[in-house]
Formats: sequence, C-alpha cells, structure tokens
Amino acid sequence: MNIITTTAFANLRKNKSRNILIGIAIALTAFLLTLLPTMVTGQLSLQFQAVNELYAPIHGVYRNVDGETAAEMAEDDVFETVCRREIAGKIYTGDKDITADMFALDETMIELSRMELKEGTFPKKADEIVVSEGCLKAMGLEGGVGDRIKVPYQPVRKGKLLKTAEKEFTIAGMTEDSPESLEKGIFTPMVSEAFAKEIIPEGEHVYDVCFQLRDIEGMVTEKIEERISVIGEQYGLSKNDIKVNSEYLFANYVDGALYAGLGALLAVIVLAGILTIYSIYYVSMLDKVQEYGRLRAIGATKGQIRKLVLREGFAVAAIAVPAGIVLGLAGAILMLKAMVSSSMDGNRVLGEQMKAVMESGDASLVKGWVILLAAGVSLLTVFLSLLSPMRKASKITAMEALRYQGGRKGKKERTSRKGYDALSIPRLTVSNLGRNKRRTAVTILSLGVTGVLFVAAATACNCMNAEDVTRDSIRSDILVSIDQEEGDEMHPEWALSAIQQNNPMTEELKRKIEKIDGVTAVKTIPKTDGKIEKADGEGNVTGKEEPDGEGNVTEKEEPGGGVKERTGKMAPDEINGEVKGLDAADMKELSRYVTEGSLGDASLKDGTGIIFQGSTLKQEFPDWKVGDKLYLEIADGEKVKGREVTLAAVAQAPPSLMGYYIAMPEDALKTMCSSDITYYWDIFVEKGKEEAAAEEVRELVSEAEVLEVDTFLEENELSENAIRYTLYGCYGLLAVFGLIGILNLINTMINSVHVRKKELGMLQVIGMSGRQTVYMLQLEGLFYTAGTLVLSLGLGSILGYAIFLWAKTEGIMGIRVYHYPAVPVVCLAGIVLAVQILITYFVNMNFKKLSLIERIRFAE
Amino acid sequence: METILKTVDLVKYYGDGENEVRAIDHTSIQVENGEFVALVGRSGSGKSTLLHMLGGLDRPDSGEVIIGGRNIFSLKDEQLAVFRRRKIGFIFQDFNLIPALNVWENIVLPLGLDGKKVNRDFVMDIVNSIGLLEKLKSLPSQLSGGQKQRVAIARALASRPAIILADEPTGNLDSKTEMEVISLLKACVRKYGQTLVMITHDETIAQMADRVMIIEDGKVVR
Repeated sequence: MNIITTTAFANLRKNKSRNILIGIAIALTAFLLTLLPTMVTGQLSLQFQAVNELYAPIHGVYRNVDGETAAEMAEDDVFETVCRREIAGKIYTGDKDITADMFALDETMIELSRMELKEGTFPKKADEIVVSEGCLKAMGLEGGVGDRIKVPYQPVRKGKLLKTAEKEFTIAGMTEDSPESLEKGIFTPMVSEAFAKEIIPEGEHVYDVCFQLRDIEGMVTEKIEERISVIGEQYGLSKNDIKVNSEYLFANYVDGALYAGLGALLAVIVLAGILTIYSIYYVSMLDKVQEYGRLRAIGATKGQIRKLVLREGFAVAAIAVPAGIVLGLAGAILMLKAMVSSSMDGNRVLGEQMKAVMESGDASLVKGWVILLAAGVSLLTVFLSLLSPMRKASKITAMEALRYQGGRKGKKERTSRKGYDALSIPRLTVSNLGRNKRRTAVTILSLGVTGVLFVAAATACNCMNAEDVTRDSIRSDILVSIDQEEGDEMHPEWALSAIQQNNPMTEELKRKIEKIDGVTAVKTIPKTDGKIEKADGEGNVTGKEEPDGEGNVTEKEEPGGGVKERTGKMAPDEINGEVKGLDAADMKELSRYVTEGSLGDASLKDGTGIIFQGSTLKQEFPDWKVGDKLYLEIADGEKVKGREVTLAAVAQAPPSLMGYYIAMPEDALKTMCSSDITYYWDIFVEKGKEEAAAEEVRELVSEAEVLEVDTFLEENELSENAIRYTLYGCYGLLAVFGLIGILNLINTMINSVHVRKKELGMLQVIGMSGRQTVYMLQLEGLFYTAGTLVLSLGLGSILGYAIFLWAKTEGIMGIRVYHYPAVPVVCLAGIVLAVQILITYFVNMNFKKLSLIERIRFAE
Repeated sequence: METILKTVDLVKYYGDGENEVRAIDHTSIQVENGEFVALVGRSGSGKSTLLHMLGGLDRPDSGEVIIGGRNIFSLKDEQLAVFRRRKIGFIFQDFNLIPALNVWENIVLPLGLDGKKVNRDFVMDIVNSIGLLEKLKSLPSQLSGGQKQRVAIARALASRPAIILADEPTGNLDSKTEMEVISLLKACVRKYGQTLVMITHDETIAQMADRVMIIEDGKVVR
C-alpha cells in the first residue's frame, strides 16, 4: 500500500463520523438504485411468467372478420401463425345475468390458448360440447363426460342473437370453473367448428382471427402495435376490431415507455444522491482544508491530494455500496412478496398466477444487470460528488490553508463589516450565517431540492385519489341505470328502442325510491343512442348513404322544429355515440370543464347546439371544430329523430356528468323525443345509510330486468384497488425524498458544529453558556429549516401543480382533481423541525464530552 | 493586600498506569488583588493546565480554586459559564477571535453574552488605549498578529473582569510587537485595577511582573 492509500485509510478512521454519514448517504443511494429496478423488474418477471403461463402466445386479434378475409389472412406471409375462433351461439338460460357464449375454436387456437380440460377431449364432431359444472348448473342440468344433454341455445348471426333452438350434445370434455366465472356468471362452453358450419350459413361466419406476426424479434411493443394496426387497416378492419394482446407483448417484448419511466425515476434518485453526497463533501471540506494544506506544505503534489480525496471517498463507497445493494435486494424481495401475497394486481387471475410463480421460484427476481447498474451508478455518483472536493483540495496552497478560516476562496475577500453596536445570540447567529453566504445557499439549495421533489411527489400522491376516479363514473351514492342489450331475438324488450317505449323508470318507482330512509334526492337524467355526422350546412349530411336500418324508412319534417323524423330503429352499427341531457345545474357545472367554445352559445339556447366530450372528439373526429354544422340522429322508441346541430363547445368533463360523447340541454333533447328517454337516476343518500338504501333500491328495481344498480361505495373499492399500486410507489418515492432530505439536514447540522468546534469553544470560554450555545444552534437550524421550507413549499407546490396538470391531461392513474398535499407538507415541516431540535441537543451533548480546552485546541 | 485567587491542594492527572502524567500535583498558590503574576516553566510543566483551572475551563481531579472566597468548582457548568464571563478575561496565544465579527463586535461580545448594555464610553476608552480606533469595522482576517492580540486584550477587559488570565499572549508575535503588547496589557490592568496572571517563556517579560512563579512537573517550586 503506498503512502497516499495509507493516509487515505488513516483519514477514513479519523473522520469516522463524517464518513459514516457519507456512507449512509451512499448506501441509501445504492439501496434505492437496487430496490426500485429490482421491484419493477421482479414484478415484471413475475407478471411475464404468469402471463406466459396464462395467456395465449398471440400478438393480437382481429375481430369481426368474415370467412373470406380470414382465409386470406391464413395465407398471408406477414403472419407466422393464424388461428381463429367464432361464437356459434349462446346457451339460453333465460337469466339475463348469465353469459355462456359457445366458442368454436380451430385446432391451432386450441393449442395456443393453453386451455386445459379437467377431463375428456376437445369437441370435434358437430354434436360434441365441452362444458363446466357451473355452466351445466346454470342450464339446470347435471352430467359428465360421455353424457348426452339437451342444450337450448340462440344461434348468433352477425352479432345478433336469433330465436332459441335446442340441440342434443355429447359432453366431450369438462373444464374447471374459476371462482370469478361462478361469481359473474360467465361461462365459456366449447363446440366444434363442424357445429358452427352446420348452423351458420356459408358467407355469414364472423371470426376472431388470432395471430402471431413474423419478423418482430427485437422490436419495441409500440412498433409491434403499430404494425398490427396497419395490417388490420389494410384488411379493411375498423379500429375497434383491432385488438392487441398487450399483456403478452408487454411480457415478451421491450416496452419503450416502461424503460423511459424507470430511467427517469433512476435519474431522479441519482440526482438526489449526487446532491446529498456532494453537499456532505462540500460542507465537511471546510474543516479539512488545513489538513490538506499541511500535506501540501510537506510536499504533496496536487495530483496526490486529488488521489487522497478520491481514495478516501471510494474506501467509504467500497463498504457502503455493497451494503446498500444487499439491503436493496432484500427489501425488494420482501416487498414483492408482500405485494404478490396481498394480490395488489387488478387482475385477480393474474395475481393468483403471480403468487404461484413466486412460490415456485421460477422467475428470477434478482437481476445481474440491476446489481451492476446500481453499483456502477452509485460509484459514478460518488465520483461526480468527489470531483469538486478533489479540485478544491488540490488547489489549496499551504499558506492559504494555514490561514484558512472558512471564508471565501478565490474571490475578493471582505475586509470589514458594518456590524452591530451590541451583540445578542440572534445577532451572532445572523453574523455567522452571513459569513459564508455561498455555503449557506448551497445548504439551503441542496436541502430544498429534496424538499421540492418531496412536495411534488406528495402532490402527485395526494391527487391520485380513488374517489375522484369513482366520481368519474358515478356522481351520486346510488346510480340506477338502464342495462340495454341490442339484437337479441329472444329478448327484443332488452333493446333501447323497446325500453324507451315502456320505460320501467316511472314516476311511481321514483317516488318509492324517494321514500327510502336516508334518500335525500333522486335526479333524473335522460340519455339515448345517437349518430353524429358532418353536415353541409343545409341540412344534408356530407357523403351520407341511405340508412340501412330495418323497417320502413320514411322521412318527414316536423312542422316548425327543424327535426326530421323517420320510422324504424337505428341499426346497431349505425350508432356512433350517445346523447345525454343536462339540466340547468349540470350545465352550470359543465361550464367549469369547457375547453373550447362556450355554453353561452346561442345554438345551445335555441336547442340546436351540442357539447362534445373533448377526449372522444380528439380520438374519433379530430377534424371537427367548434362552430361546425353536424347532423345528429337520435333513437326515440320506434323512430329516429334527426336535426342539424352546431358544435357549440368542447368540454373535458367527468363522464358521470356529460357522458362519453355528446351532451345537450335536457329540454332540447326531450323536445326532440316523444318516448321516455330517462336513462339514469342519481340517488343521493345521507351519510351512513348508503348500504341499507342501496339494498332497498335493489329490491325495488329487481322486478325490472333492464335496470341495474351501482353504488359509489362498491365502485370506489374497485378504484382504490386499481390505484393502490401506483399510490404505494408514489409514497415510496416520497419516503425516499424525505429520507434523503433528513439525512442531508442531519449532516449539515452536525458539520456546521463540527467545523466551528473551536469557535464555539472559544465563545464558551468567554462566557457563552450551554443554553446559549443550544439557542444559537437552534436559531441556525431554524434558519435552514425556514429556508428549506420556503423553497420546498414554493417551488414544490408549483412543480406539483405542473405535474398535476400534466397527469390530468395525460389521464394518468386517476389524477383528476387538484388536492394540495397539506398533510404531507405539515408532516414534512414537523419532522424537519423535530429533527433539527433533536440534532441540536444531540450535537451539544456530544460536544460536552470534550472539555473546553480540547475544544479550543481542536484545530491544532 | 486581599487575596483574590487561591488554589488549595489542586490535583490534575492525565492517563493512568505507566502513561500517567501529573499535570498538576498538589499545588497551592495565592494571588493578591491587583497583582501581576508571571507563570514560568518548561513545555509540559503544567502551567497551561494550572491557568485553565484557574479560569474554570477544566475541572481538577481534586482540590479547590477559590476566587472571591468561593470554590468555583462548586458551581454547575451553566453557573460557571456566567461566572467566567463576569469575573475572568482570557487572552490566548492564537487570539481566538470570531472571524465573522468585526473588531468592535469581538470586543463587546462578552457583554452581549451576558445580556449587559454596552458602556460605550468605557469600551471606547479601551479602544483608544489599544490604538485600534481606525480598525473598528475591520474583520479579524484584515489585522496583523499584534492588532489581533490587542483586540483580544480589549475583549478581555471589556466586561471589567477582576482577573485576566493570559496564556503566552505574545507567543505568536515578533519581539518588537511583543513588548508593545505586554506594556499595553500591563498599563491597562493597572488602569482598571485588575489582577493579571500570565504564562510566558520569555525572561524579559517575566521580569516585568510583580512576582514570578516557576512550575516544574506540576508543582510550584518558587
């Protein structure tokens, strides 16, 4: 070991307390750099493994593909594999809440879908079927493999359900029911392709074509998705019919956005790490100056001093980095275990599978590259933090160092100060803080940066509010709405046109609901299906084709209203939106969300104006602008009403307020219609009585098959589950910033005393009492605290608000409404104050261990 | 003459066993009010330890330091700090000025710590005596060694302590400045009726004292 290394090690021991602090900061940085990527990649490994065990290895699905196109796709070279499935019919149970689509899968599909039978084989002959116990029970049957059962079913024809037929099948195999399918009443019985051919005429088949693309190795998921869209569009498919198997793609290909996000997070940690470690070195460099000067005096070169500082720094890192990495790995694995076992993933089946993967130990959670990255980046952080101290230490000349009293270097030194006539402890504090303004500024800045990040992260956490998410879909405590189902020949009464002519949401039922204990108000909201197109300004739809709806199409103009009417129903594939009617109060609330145009527009007053939901407009009709003339048709019982309307305004409002498409004043909508277009009842209930009231509402509406009841509490539970994961991440980040900030504060306080040990000793010699010393240190601490808080709260709040705006526009994890993070901010202020006071006492106690004489001789 | 300061059987050892150093070994001395005493001895003889204990900066293993009829080590730390700032002025070899404060502030600092009002006339009188009227706003870094020591002397005098304890106050000064500073110190002490106990290596300076005490191995031998 050469003399530089020996001296570095000697220094390491001598500056024990400072090096412990730096060690903690480095270890914390390494810890975070290991913990976060390990958690993210570990979670992904588990998820990927689970996805690969659960999901079919297909890249996407093209829906509603006719037989001819499906055959073309099978021959197309862009696909590695093509397979298909078709819904041949639906088992008829008479119960609206039970769904049992009869799937016909080709052989490749069966193979890829990883479906496992409990017993038996997949259906091959036209009279073979695979069912589950739950499915049999739903039909009121029992049976096992080989049994013959009579199955009532509705054949499916181009998305419509025909009248019930019955067929005798042999049970070829049995599948297991998942708890979820039993709970929701969704079953997937399988029939053979032969059966599908038998009941669906040639040329009327509608397939889901599943595929694997060729030559996409190494592509990012975004590119793959783009290719899937392009190919789908080339086959003439609509956007809605192109589905990407994002879980599978995410699990097997590189996702650019994910790594960009992770990268940004790591960059923030590195930045915070550099700031902390740099600030510790910066602050503690002051009392090392004389030492380096002495070494320079006895002949050390600049290079040697640089090496000395570097080696001392790296010696600390050599212990701290591995410690941080080991702790980070342990922490990540513990947290992954906790996360998986509490099944925080929104998807329960996937959650269960992840748990199984974790227990089996199949997925490797510890990644070599994460460890290398953490070690590399931590060491780089240390190196970057050391650059400035190295430069400073090497620049010190022997004479400078021996004279050094902690003042400024290199700049014009102050020669005098105005000063005070008489001194007191607060004045002494002010003088001290003013002595090295740059150091004071660096300290406040480095404390402030973590504070700013803390407040910004706290804002994000605080705005990530489950209630806001829930309020998007349900504004009241209980929502009664229409549950329509189009195109079922067995149940034409479930179609909206039929419901509007015989709406179960009667005044009588409403009155009954109003009488339920705790119900304070019931608000009626009308809504109907609609079709919106561009018009030429003269009442004609540009490029309009003849409607292909069923029934007799006659057009007649209603006198005076400008509303055209045709008899017949709107065909399901014509409908491209819905229109919600808003009363005066809702219109007033909506005005808060208007992004273009105005609700004061004349067209809205005379009933010819509409308001469009901003995100939908952007996605579906990007060219339409406020002021455009449009042609709106709405479903009104057995009729279709149409009129030219003006796009009066665009609003980015919660769907619970304005719906996903179009809103217009309630009166204008109702005037267009002759049937009862009541669609929702928003029921408001006194606090604490929601559950009981919901029970009674359910009881009251149970007679009407087409009504469904949702409650705020139930929806909110779902929202909470959905955002919990992200929220925990956010709080984790918050803790990190808090921890780094506190570490920095501790270091600053300890150093500010350490550096001035002799000076403080001197003050005590000339009569400063212990209490006065503590008072002075506390005043200094208070100054740093106040400076840090002003910076954190000021800049942090601004940054937080910017993050909120960005997240709101991007629609990130439930961020809708701005909530100032008052609680975390008060906690931050409280903790900083408490830490500051505690440290002052701790430092003073430690200080007392030295006699006054030792203190004033400190520098010698 | 009245005894202002005395020690009774004062003991301070450092280390133990073979490494034991008897810094002060059963020492009893007396200093009269207004007296100028020079403490002389070799390096390591224990003179600094004795001076520190006279000023209450360090506590003895046993024995008493009695100032104004009271054993100062019967006081608690906080009381001792108050006692020190009222009764004793310190002057050190390396000046120990507060770098953030200007000359005036350094001088009035002990008064500020004691919460006393600054008697401007008195402090200006001291400033005039030490000849630093032009330098009142200067920071310590701008002063020469002799000037710094004069500020330290002014600081020690400002709170009108009964006793001034000086630990080689001229150790860092050239011989011309040395004599100037000592003469000044002696004159001031006389002027304000204070008692001065000073450690020195210098025979010439020792000769200026009313009495010379010689310390060897922790004991006052003369």
